[in-house]
Amino acid sequence: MSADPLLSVRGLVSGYGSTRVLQGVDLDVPAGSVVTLIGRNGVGKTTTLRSILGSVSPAAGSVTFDGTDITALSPEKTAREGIALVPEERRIFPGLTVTENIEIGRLGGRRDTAKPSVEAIVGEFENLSRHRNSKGAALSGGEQQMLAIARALVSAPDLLMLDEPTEGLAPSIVKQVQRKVEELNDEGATILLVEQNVQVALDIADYVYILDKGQVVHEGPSDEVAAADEILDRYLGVSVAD
Amino acid sequence: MSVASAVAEQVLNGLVVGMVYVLLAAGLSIIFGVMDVINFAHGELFALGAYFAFAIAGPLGGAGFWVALVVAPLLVGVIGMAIERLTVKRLYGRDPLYHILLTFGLVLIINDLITSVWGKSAQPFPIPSVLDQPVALFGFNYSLYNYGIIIFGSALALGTWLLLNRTRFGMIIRAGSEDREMVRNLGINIDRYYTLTFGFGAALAGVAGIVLGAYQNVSPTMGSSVIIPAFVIVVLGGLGSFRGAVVGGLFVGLVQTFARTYTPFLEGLIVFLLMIAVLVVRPTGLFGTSIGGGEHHDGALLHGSGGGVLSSETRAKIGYAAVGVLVVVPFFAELTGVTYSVTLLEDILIWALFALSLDLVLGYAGLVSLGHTLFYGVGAYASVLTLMHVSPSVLVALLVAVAVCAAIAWGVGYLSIRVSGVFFAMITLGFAELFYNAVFKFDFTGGSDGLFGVDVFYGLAGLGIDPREFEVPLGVFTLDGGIVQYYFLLAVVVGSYLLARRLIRAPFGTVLQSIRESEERASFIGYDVTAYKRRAFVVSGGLAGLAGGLFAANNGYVAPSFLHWINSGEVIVMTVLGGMGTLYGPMLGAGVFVAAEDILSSYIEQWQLVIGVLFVLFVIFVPRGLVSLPQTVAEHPMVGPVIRDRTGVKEAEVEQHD
Repeated sequence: MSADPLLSVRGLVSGYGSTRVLQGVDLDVPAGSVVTLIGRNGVGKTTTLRSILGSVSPAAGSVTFDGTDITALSPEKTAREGIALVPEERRIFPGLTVTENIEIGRLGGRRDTAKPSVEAIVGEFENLSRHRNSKGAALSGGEQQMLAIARALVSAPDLLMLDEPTEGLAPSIVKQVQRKVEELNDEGATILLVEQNVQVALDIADYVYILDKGQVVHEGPSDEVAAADEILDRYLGVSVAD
Repeated sequence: MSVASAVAEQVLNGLVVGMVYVLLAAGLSIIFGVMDVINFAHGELFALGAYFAFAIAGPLGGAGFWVALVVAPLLVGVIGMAIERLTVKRLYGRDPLYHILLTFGLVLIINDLITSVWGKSAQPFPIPSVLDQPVALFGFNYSLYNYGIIIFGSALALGTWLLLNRTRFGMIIRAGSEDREMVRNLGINIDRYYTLTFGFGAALAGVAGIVLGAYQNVSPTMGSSVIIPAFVIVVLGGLGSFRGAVVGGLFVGLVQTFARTYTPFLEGLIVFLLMIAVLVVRPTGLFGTSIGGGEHHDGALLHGSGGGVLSSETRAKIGYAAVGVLVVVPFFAELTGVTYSVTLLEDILIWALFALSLDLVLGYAGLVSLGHTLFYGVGAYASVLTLMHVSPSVLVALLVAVAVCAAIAWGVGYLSIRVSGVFFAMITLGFAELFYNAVFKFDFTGGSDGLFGVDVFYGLAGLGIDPREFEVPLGVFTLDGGIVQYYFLLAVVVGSYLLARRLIRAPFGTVLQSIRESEERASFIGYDVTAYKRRAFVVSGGLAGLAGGLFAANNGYVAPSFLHWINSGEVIVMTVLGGMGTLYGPMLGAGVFVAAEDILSSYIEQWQLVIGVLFVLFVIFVPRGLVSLPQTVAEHPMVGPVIRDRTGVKEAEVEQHD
């Protein structure tokens, strides 16, 4: 991987209370790439994202973002550094309208960067522009996922972290989400993706980390990992069709 | 005056009171909606607004009122922000019960500060002369000030609505009320907005206090007299709903005013009847959307944990020793002449039983009953009425007290246990207030005087002890009627504890605890969660009635104050102070609380302030109660390793979970 990644995680140890979930995770996300974390349930994928963001405080290790040590920063400060999270289960604000959901995203993120207008972002998502005055709760699962992505994008983040963006969506919607992520990457966005759907993850990603028991047990370019049937079988219990 | 004019005047009066309620309830509701905080101190902030205005306006003369109307709410707002920053903020993420407890402590503190600065009596707070004149509209003269309240209140309510729905500030706090963590993840410092929101709610209460202070007068009890109606409005309208606060406030103002004029008997009752009726039909209130509102992760109730350091044998030994000490106290008291200690112990034992009863529902079923004094008070009334009209036998009186309270608990439980959390707390509070207001209305309950002067007999059918005639010399001691009463009390309390413990160790108790941990999972296994909770509530109500009955029989009187909500607050304080979910913890808590109150009040004039401060510190730093202190100490990083090494407790094994 390149010498100066945008995000660099070293020896990250983290967890909840006395339970250590991460046992020393190392990973790099180079600018402009899509990096994905895959692994079985409960191996620490979400905890890795939460620890990077700061909503779980790491017990040891370091997180460096764009040359700045952000290990001890609170989530709001990390977000101000230019990292946006599209969380698991979307977590849009159900009582706010689509426009308000995006507006509030625009209030976050880096202060020193030019952010797209709410209108511009809404315009990028066809299914959101039809519902701009609807409450978040009234949207379908796929629309809510798009809204969560839009809410993150409007803050013009340098790094976009997506946690299980295709979870619980119909196959056709999964394709839409996948296309959106690829499109963003084509436009130059840096993405750290946590994904249960191994096929989607390997399709989108440039580089893959496999997590098991709180540690990175395998890593490599996605085409290499996709071909490593034995590893995929051992850590994920799946094999990927060609 | 024509009938139409008379009705119009009543409508205006109702709107004036209603506007005050709107301002008060709006602040309360916003604070709950955004931060999940039930702010019992809201009434005191309301009173503080009135007193600040009173202090500012007095020296300034003519224009003083207008200066005060601006400055006093700002001051209250700043105090609100300080309260949020220093205390409330530390409890985010815990069950709303802890905010109830914390703000209950703040009530004691602020109220004591008010009385120590401005005295205990009500004082007139004149309205500005420019507003002190009649206006002839609708065919009658009506005060310009009152019209002013309606217009000003409406403008302020409209302004608040605009602030919530049309500004960036409002958007952020609405988002925060739905998902606090997500707002933070976006890069927004939600804590700052919480502080501002709390300050804003407090300032609104301050404005309401000024408006009502000048309409009536300023008094240290003005806070406690409005807080319950304000809660009723918030619950009636829907917790966290601004629209609900406005509609509910005006509605309650009108209903109260009309009831006072046309159905005086229902004054004081009708509001609670309405609240209960609305919640039975629509548990979320008129405009509430969901139980508990948007996200509202209810944090866990923190139970006492006596284990860890002290083994159960050690605790049993401590228990036997405690009972042993209680048995010999009367002898030492007589030897040393400190007979007062027996009276104090009787008080403690009764409160200990009351706290034990609450622990059965609070600590084991997770039901925050905010109106538990309903059973204590009704038990006392039932007991005295039985002694007066049926039989002088204490046994009969207590039996009646327990039966009546268990029956009422069944009824209240039937109507309230369907809803959970804060709604349950509010319905129980509503029922308690209904009974509190009702006892004033009837002759057979003795109205505001209560009932007193009963003779008691410890026995049945002529066989037993009449404490007035009982006297047995035992060497240097004399076993008299008072001591018999004491031992009877001790036996009943110890017996009740053993009964409660038996119940909790039986399968019934295990099911209750599983319900407390996860209602959903317990119901998936196949338990009828509601039925179990209701049974626990009935037992708890019966025991609380026993406590009230014992007090009444022991002291020979009962008064409406037995039903006052402050008792419900105090018994929750005792339960948490000792450590809920342990049975003995709350009894210990009662002992410490009653003794501290007794000792402090005889030495310090500002004892409420001291208790309030201690209590606030306790809720923040020792939420698991006194019984958990040994374990808390053992887990402290400075002391922990030493004790761990000694006791061989190893660090929790590392688990994998995400």
